[in-house]
Amino acid sequence: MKRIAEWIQTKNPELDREPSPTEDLIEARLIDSLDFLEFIYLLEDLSGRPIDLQEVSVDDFRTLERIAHRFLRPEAGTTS
Amino acid sequence: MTTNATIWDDEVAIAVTRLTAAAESEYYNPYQTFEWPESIPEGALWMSEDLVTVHGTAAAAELDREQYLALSKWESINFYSLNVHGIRELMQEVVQRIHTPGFEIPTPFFHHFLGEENEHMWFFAEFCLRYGGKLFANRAMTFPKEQHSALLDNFIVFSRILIFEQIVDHFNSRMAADAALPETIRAINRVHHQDESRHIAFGAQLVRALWLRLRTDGDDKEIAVARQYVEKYIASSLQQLYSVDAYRNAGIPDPFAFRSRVLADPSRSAAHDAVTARTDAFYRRIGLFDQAAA
Repeated sequence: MKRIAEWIQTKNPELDREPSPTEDLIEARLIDSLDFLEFIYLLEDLSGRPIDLQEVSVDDFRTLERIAHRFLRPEAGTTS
Repeated sequence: MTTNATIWDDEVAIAVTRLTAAAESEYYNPYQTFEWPESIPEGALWMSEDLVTVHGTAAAAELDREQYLALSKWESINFYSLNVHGIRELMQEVVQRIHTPGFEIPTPFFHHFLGEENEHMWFFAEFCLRYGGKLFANRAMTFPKEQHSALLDNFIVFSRILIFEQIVDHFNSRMAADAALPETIRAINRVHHQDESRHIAFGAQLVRALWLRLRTDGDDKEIAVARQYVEKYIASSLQQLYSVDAYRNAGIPDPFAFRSRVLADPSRSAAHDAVTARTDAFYRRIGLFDQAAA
C-alpha cells in the first residue's frame, strides 16, 4: 500500500499527508480519469495480475482499503 | 445569458458549410475501399520507426530485430485499438449534442462526423482483428463528472476530440507517406488522414469559438480548469502510447519496468514535442497556452 499512497502524493503535490485508508479518493479528486492508466499499471505491477475493467467499477478504486481488498490480497485472484 | 447559438460566430458557420460540402463530395464506401490481404508480410515493419516508443532510447538496444519488429506490430495494434476506443467515446459526446438546442449551426457537419467516425472505427477494428487477432482492452474508466458550466463542459469535450484527432493525425500522415510500410498499413492511415483533415478543421473552429466565449464569460477558476485540463489531457494521451500490453505481446521481459525506463528516457521529450506540435501551436494561437506562460 505504501507505493500506492506514494503515487497518490506524487500526483497531488499539494497533499501534505498520506491519504487515510477510508478517504474517498475519487470524491477528493486524488485519482482522476486522466491519471487512471498509470494507476492501473501500478496496481497490475504490484499485484502481478491483469485487471479487466469490464469486471470492476469506479467504486473499487474509491478508498485505499477497498483497493487493497479488491486487488492486492493474495487470494483476490485475477479479474480477467 | 450565454447560449451556444450565440457562441458559433460567422467563422464557424462558414467552416460548417464548406466542410459539409467537402464531406458530401468526397464521400466513399469504406467497406469497398480496402484490399485486405491474408496477412501482413513476414518481417515487415508495422509502424514508422520514428513513431515506435523506443525510438532514440537506450532501451531500444535491449531488443533484437525480431522483438523490435514484434513491438512495431503490437504498438500499431495499440494505436488502432486506442482509435477504436477513442472514437466510441467521442461519438457518444457528439450524439448527445446533435439536433439539441444551441447546436443548430454545427449539426449539419455532426452528421458527417458521426458517419465517418463510425466507418473509421470499423476499419481500425477490422485491421486489428484480421492481423492482430484482437483489440487491446480499453484502459479508461468513466469517473463521476465534475460539475462545470455547460460552456466549460463543451470546451473540454471538443478539446478532447480535437487533441485526440490531432495526435492521431500526426501518426496517420507519417505512416501514409512511409514507403517502408506495407501498402495495407499505408492505405488505412492515408484514408483516415484525408477524412480527419475535415474533422480537425471543424473541431478547431468549435474549440476556438468556445474558448473565446469562455475567456469573456468564464471566471478565473473556469479558465484555470480549462487550461489545466488541456495540459493534462495531452500528457495523458502521450502516456497511452506506451502500452504494457504491447510490450508484453512483443515478448519484452518485465514490461512495467521497461515502460518506466522508456518513458523516462530523455530522448522522448523531443518525440513528444513532435507528436503534439500541432496541438501546442493551436492552443498558443487561440491564447490558451500563451496565457499560461504569462
